[in-house]
Amino acid sequence: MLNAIRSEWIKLRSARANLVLALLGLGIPLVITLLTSSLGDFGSSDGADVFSATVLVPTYLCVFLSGVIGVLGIGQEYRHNTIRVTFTCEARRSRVLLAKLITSSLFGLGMGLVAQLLCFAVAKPILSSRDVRFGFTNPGENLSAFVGQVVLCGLFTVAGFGFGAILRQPSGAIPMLLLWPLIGEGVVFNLIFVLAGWENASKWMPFTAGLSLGVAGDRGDILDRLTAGLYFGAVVAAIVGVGWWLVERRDA
Amino acid sequence: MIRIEGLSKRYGSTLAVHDLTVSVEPGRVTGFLGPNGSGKSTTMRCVVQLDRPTHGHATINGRAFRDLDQPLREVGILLDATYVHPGRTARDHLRAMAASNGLGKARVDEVLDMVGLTEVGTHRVKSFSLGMRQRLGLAGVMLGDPHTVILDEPANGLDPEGIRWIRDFLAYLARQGRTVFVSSHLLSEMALMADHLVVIGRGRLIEEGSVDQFIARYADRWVRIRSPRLAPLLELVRARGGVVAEVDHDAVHVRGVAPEVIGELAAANGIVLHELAPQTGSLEDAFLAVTAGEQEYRAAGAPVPSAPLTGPPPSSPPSPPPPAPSSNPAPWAPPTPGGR
Repeated sequence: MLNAIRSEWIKLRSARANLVLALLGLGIPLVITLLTSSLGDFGSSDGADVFSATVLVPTYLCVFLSGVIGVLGIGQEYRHNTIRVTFTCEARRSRVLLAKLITSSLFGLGMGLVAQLLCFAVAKPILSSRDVRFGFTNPGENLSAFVGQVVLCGLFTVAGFGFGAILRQPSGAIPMLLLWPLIGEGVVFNLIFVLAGWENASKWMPFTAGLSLGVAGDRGDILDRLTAGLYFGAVVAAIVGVGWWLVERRDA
Repeated sequence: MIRIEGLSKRYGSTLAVHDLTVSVEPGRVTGFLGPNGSGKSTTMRCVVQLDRPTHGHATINGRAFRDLDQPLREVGILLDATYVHPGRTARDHLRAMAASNGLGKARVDEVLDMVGLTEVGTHRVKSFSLGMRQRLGLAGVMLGDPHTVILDEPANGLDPEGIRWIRDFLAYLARQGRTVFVSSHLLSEMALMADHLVVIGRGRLIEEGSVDQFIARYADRWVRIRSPRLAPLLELVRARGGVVAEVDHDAVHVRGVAPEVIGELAAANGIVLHELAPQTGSLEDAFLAVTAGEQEYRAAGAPVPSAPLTGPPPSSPPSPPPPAPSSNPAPWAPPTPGGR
């Protein structure tokens, strides 16, 4: 198994697209954090608002890009037919899939962690110099949101892997991954609201629940973090399960 | 040893391979021939379980491919040289393959050197020609020093030097006692490369045997005669059932009469011969004859091989194939052209 993981790691780090996406996922949030912490008006904001504005919200981009990396981890293999080489090097497909899953999810978790730490490291001195209260301590809420956002990055990467395994083409799986949470769930929620009058359906939209993992402060009418994490994790597991089954079953 | 037993593969309504049973023995190069769309690549994919057979199964040294723990150390496979991520370097491509089977960087450098790509190992594959990609694919095949090698059209895109290299390379592998199973549409190359042939058409086995047997059985055979007194000689030949085709004013091709008979006729009648040369068609002629009815796609107006005047009719390949002759049926047939 370690050999398979080592092989997948070499593939992941030797594809330029992954490196570009990782750099964008780390660099762009950093620029946003630099701007918001330098120019933002935090006069009446509490600690959670400041943490959200300078660390959590900027790294949403990292969440989506780590999902794209998850798609590419398997989608590129099908696009370039290298999956055939992969399956002739390691005949047991489940071992390959597990190695890909472990590699890409760890990469996503790492990206989320590093992006937020970088944003925190940039924002901290700037906000301190402006006498804005900023830190992980906001009765632990900021730290929970920080961890939740890291987990979200990992889960999004795994979801990307699942979509890639199902659709086998990045050109189909990437739009699916990005448009479903951004547009698809809004459309579904509106339909449910109009047809069934269920106002609380929004929080049960899977990706909406997932994105709430990284919400600090007042959670209002959204699922608590643990429930949201388990629910989104279950949906992601189902997506991966379908993709896994299809890869095992279909001709390469 | 590769054993394929009762293999069938259906894609929707298309039966790509039908009940194929073949054994590929070690110690020789086994060529896999068939027209486009005959099921060669499908068969190879089924052997390594990239495609799931509809019926039947294939084993490599008695084990299904999916049961191999470190496949690269047992089977080297090159199905298509373009199956490489274009943005990855040659060395990284091989390192990822090697790592999956616990092989180190040193082995990657060795195989890059073996195929002459050391200098471009750090270049991205998108800058490679097809021939270079083919060499990269062969490097991947040799990573684990496998005892079984499966290659689908390995000579594609190679220059003459590269083709000779791969021919010598495959012969070298076979001499070492390895199993070499190779498909190619370059029949002249196959004639030089292969010791044994498996010929399929429309997914069915047409013929299996040595190259010599295949040519002897299916290729056209004739005798070329040159003489200053052709006319009286041809009368004698026709009387013996020979069929004559004129080539130029002093040379003819005769089918149906052995050269020994012609020589004796000429001597008995005092006719001077300037040339009496037995001729045999090439592997390509034999292949076209045997697959004439099995080609799925053929260009409009494409020539169909002419029926030989001796030997079996090409338009009706045997089905099921007759048993291979134990020796050359025509005593005057020459050795295999091209001599391996």
